[in-house]
Amino acid sequence: MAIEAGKQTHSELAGGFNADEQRVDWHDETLWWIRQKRDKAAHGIPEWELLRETASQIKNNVLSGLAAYLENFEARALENGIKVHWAADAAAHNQIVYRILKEKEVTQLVKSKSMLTEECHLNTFLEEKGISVIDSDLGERIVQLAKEPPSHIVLPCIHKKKEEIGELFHEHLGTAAGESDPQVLTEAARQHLREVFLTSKAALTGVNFAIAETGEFVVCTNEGNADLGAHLADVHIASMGIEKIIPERAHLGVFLRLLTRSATGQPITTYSSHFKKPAPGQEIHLILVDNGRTEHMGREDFRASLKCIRCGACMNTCPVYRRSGGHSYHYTISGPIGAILAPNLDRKKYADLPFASTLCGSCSNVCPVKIDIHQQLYKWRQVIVQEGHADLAKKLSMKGMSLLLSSPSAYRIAGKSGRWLLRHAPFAMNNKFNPWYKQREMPAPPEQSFSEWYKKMKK
Amino acid sequence: MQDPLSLQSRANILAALRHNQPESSALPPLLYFPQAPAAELKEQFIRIATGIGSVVLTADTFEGAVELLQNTIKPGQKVLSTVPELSSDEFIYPGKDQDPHRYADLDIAIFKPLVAVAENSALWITDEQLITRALPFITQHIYMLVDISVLVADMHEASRITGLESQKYGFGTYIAGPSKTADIEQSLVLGAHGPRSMTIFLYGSGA
Ligand code: SF4
Repeated sequence: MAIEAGKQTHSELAGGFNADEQRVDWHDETLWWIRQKRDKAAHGIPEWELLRETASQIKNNVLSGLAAYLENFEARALENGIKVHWAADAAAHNQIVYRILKEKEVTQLVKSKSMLTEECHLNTFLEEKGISVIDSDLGERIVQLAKEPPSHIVLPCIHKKKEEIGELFHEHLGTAAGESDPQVLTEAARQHLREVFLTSKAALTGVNFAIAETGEFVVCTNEGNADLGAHLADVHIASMGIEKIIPERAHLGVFLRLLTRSATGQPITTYSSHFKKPAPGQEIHLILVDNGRTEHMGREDFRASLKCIRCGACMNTCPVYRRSGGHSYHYTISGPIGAILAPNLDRKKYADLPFASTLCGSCSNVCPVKIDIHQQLYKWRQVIVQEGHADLAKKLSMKGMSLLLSSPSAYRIAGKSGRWLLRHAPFAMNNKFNPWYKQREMPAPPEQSFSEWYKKMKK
Repeated sequence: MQDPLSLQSRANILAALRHNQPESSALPPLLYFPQAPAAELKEQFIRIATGIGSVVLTADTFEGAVELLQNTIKPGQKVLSTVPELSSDEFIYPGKDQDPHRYADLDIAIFKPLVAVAENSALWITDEQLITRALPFITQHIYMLVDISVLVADMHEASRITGLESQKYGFGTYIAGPSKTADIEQSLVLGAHGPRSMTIFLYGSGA
């Protein structure tokens, strides 16, 4: 599937994905199964809702004091012997990485999962400079070999069938033709990537949490690839968005309890590694990246999306994501969270994304840091229609919704009746707007209608 | 020390944040939950560890655990112990070299975690104990000697203990089970890049 960002809308791309009905059903079922595992894990923790509320409040505090937290984090990290860099945008980030590698005469970089480097298109940039980049997370390696972007932030190749992966491995790693057993294919990747780990002088990892109090950062993986890469290399580069800060080390427990239960239903990732000081003879470079985040911070109605801990739960539960696939979002981060992050960067290019939702609210209900995702989707629609990108709305596959949004007066009426319906007959509401309705947990209807909100916003 | 572009970015980022960040919002109270009795924690720890693919063997004493451990080692396996009590020749292949690349063919590495967490079976180890940081990841199999007295209920308590001033580390990690992946059609495969198996020897009175 060729992805040409900005050329096709979500509904057109989803149409392509939907051509293969069996695959869509399979994709839908698989993600729903993961969502159910998440439910089981969450329900096993009596204090789950308290954890979510606490995580949400910690993140609100982080947003309100981020500048000071970053300064503190930097000071501690420097004391610990970590080299800290600041990057205003993707280009600056990529330049910093390149400079470090060039100085060390490194020609091969082994990389663990980092959505930020996807956001910055680091791989293409480095490859043009003659540095080969090898993604070491199995799912990311698979999509890298397939020359595709990841379709999910936690499960990068969730859209691929094992037979397709078998073919890729046959071509690139020399496995037997027709081999599609996950055990055999994983073993082949293990052998191939061991060699890469053992021969790479530089490794790049993402960052899940950075602790302002101590200057350490935490990287979570199941495969052990981030650690193998980082500890076997002379140079470890860690790239993080500035919003990854948490204030104190004691807060980490809250997030480590929530992250993987929300993501896959596991009690914790296999590895939660805390990097505080470089090992003797090694260097750690940490890059703090803005790339639109500070500007986003200024948008009162949308800044809460900066609380995201990238667990992917909102994607697994989303009826539209499950049945349209991650690539239909034509942005690095897909699903509901991608649909509220992307318009911050380019409202025109991603004008269609906030419409790729039934607004059922399931995303907000599973989000471990309580981001009001579906309400932000609603609000983005208002902004986009008002800014004159309404032609895109007409292209939507869900005709009812686009009709609703093309006329402010129709919208106002529907807004009221919609709220009434949601309160009195949530099932009818879902049936009308959501042909793929599956989830049970419904959100509370918003207190303020979106046109009321928009009126307020215009003032 | 920093290059001018990075410094410029730093100034811009901090200024933009100070302009754009919302009004101060208070931190919530730290969470703490009563710790369940030891017997319950032990039962939970074993159930969860087993559930995520670890093998758990129990013994009353450290010596008992070591005996169990020795019985699982097959002839010819290359073993490296980071546990001071296990430092005889059979446990120190190929010596205590700090170059991690030397351990590429290691079969078994043995550690003694400082904290064990009942709610998720995570085991905390730090570079104070590691001969080299790559060791717990590069080894084919990982053995954990866990004193039941280091068992705590949850990550709140674990974060408190591992964050104490006395707990000095440059690198520390929670490890829960063997390395794994489910990236191919969500079929779980143990032994992604790190160890293919984890064996936990849980010992101490009541174990
Ligand atoms: S928005 Fe919430 S649910 Fe979605 S990925 Fe981020 S933290 Fe997870």
